[in-house]
Formats: sequence, C-alpha cells, structure tokens
Amino acid sequence: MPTQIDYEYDHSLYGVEHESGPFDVTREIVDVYTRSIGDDNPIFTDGEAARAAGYADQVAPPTLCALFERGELPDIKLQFGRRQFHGGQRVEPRAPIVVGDRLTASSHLKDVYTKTGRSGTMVHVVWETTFSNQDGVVVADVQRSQVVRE
Amino acid sequence: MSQATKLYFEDVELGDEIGPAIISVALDQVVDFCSLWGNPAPNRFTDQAEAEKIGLDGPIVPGIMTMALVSRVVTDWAGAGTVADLDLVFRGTVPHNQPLHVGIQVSDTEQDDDGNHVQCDITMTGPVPDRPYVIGTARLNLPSRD
Repeated sequence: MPTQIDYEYDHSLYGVEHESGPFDVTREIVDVYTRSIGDDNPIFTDGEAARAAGYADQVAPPTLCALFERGELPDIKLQFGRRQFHGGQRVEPRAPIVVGDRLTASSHLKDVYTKTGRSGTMVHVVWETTFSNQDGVVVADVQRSQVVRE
Repeated sequence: MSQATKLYFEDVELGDEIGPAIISVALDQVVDFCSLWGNPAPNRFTDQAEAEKIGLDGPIVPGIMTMALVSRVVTDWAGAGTVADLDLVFRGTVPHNQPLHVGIQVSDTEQDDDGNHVQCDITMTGPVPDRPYVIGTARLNLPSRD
C-alpha cells in the first residue's frame, strides 16, 4: 500500500510496469565506467582474469546497471515543489552482469512519501527497477529515491 | 591486499573498521561518467556556470557516481562478487577535487543456510566528519575458509 500524503499526484501509476531497454553491456561501457571511478580490480577490467576466476567474461561492477535505470519514467504529476535532487539509491545484485549481456528493465512506482525536517517538507518519490539479462535471469534490483522540495 | 584477493568470512569481526579510504574525483572522471549516463557535459555535474544556475557553489559528483565510488571501496576490500545489497542516502552534495573519506564498519555477521553474511555501515564524509555526504549500509556475502 502506498503511503498517504497531502499532495496530489497520479496514483494510477501504481501497479504499472514500465519496460525499457535493451541495454547492451559493452566492453567500452565497462572500461569507461571502471576508469571513471578508478577501479582497477582485474575482474572488472580484464576479461581473461574474469574468466580465470570463473566468470563468463569481464564483469560489470555491481552498480553499473544503475546507469540504465533512469530511462524514460513517467511524470507522476506531483502537485508540490519545484526543486529535485537524488536522495538515495539502492542496488541489490542478483547475478553477475558481464560484457556481452543485453539487459532489459522493468520499473514501477514503489512509494511516494513525505518527510519534514529543519529545511521544510520534502516528498520522496521511489521507483523500483528490476534488470534481467538476455536469458531472462534477474541480475539486479535497483531503487532510486528522487526528492522534491519546496 | 591485492585487488583480486578474496576476503573470507572468518577474517571479519563485528566492529571492524575499514578505512577510511580517501579518494577524490576530478572533472575528467565526471565528464566520462556523464557521457556513459546519457547526460553529456556541460551540465551541473561538469560546469561551474550550470551548477550556479541551480544554486550550487560548483559542479558536483552525480549520486550514481558517488554510489559507484562507494561500491569500489567496498569491493576493493571484500572482492568482486561479494556485494548483495548497497543502500545509500545522499545527504549532501559531493564536490570535485576534495578528499572524500569512505569508511566501513562491520555491524553484524551471520551464517545461515544461504551463506555467510556481513552487514556494514557506510559513510562518506568531507572536511566535517559529523556532516556526512553519504550514509548507508552494505550487505556482503563472503566465502568461508571451511
């Protein structure tokens, strides 16, 4: 059950899955990602090292799929605030994502709730996305909390 | 410890503190990350003027890049394939070119039929330790020596 809040938004989005993708996990994407965060773990940077460790190919770091999570999610038409920021993120890896995988995403609105603190009221909009690979294996669940403030 | 070395469950004890690892993020790293993310420069993450337009003092590190950096610190310690859950709250904007202290503290260890689990508290702070940029938790699944 979604949390009850005092501000209007489109409740019809609950229970609706929004599909996106496919997203190809290329070696270039994994290489640029690892370089940009300074990650030199050979499992994430070297296909041979990853295969020697029992993986099918070079492995994507566990948070890489969040790159694809933003997608084209619908506007919830929240009647509150104007400024938005990224309030939180959760990633639960379920299976390795490796170079050559083709991912699809299924996202739904999980909850919309308010918090009031010293800086006023903030509305948290939480989307949950499940990523699956080309074999239908769920590889990660990702939650993103977008915060809207007055 | 080498990057590829695995951490074993028996190596971890409740209350262990890891780090802080001190990292910093340069503009070219953020530009690369944003290009992958479909948010090419210039934007509030890469450009002073764009950041000031929305009331920031300067360009900031994107939230999902901050998460990637925290994840890197965790896997540097525990190894690839160990993260079962990483749950972060972004409490402040993360600046470029400043020392970022990422600390990990083991808050629980448990063995059950599903494996060996380690729960950790995570913080990322800047110059003021009691005003973290990021707080959160990680759950790891570790191999046993047995």
